[in-house]
Amino acid sequence: MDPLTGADYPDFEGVLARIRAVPGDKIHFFEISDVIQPTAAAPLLKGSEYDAYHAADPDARALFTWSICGRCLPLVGKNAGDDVRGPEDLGGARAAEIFKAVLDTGFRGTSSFPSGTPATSSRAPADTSSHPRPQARVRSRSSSSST
Amino acid sequence: MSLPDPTVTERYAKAGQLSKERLFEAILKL
Repeated sequence: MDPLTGADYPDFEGVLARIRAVPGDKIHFFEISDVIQPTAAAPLLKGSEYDAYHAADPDARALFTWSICGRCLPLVGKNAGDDVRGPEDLGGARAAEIFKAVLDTGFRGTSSFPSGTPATSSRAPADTSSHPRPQARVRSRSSSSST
Repeated sequence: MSLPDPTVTERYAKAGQLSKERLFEAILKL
């Protein structure tokens, strides 16, 4: 998806095909997050709640800013689900389809579900000093075998 | 570097487990 316009994947089937083309025994670890759809609120630099964060480093790629600020647990949402206002906050990157494509490769190894830090999860970070760029992430420790 | 708040870590661990369960439920419906 494009954080600047809210446009969806231009070729999602192509994304899935590229994942399925990887031999499962060549995947050693799988980590998946989701991200808020830019259209759920407003695209970046068009009134989104992450505009102030992006303004602190305008040279950063828009996708980087969105992936840091809009990251969420798949089907649970931001801030471990505490910031969910509706279905649009559960993530819009089609994580289940991505995950299934990985499993379709035959991969049965360890997977994890990182979701960003509480510091990057607060809504409306008008003051970027309280919304610092992440130095280290608190990760969900729910790694498990996917068999 | 300070250690993470254990209550936050626990909350995120539970949320991660819930995410995993919901993902597998969603995959089974695909």
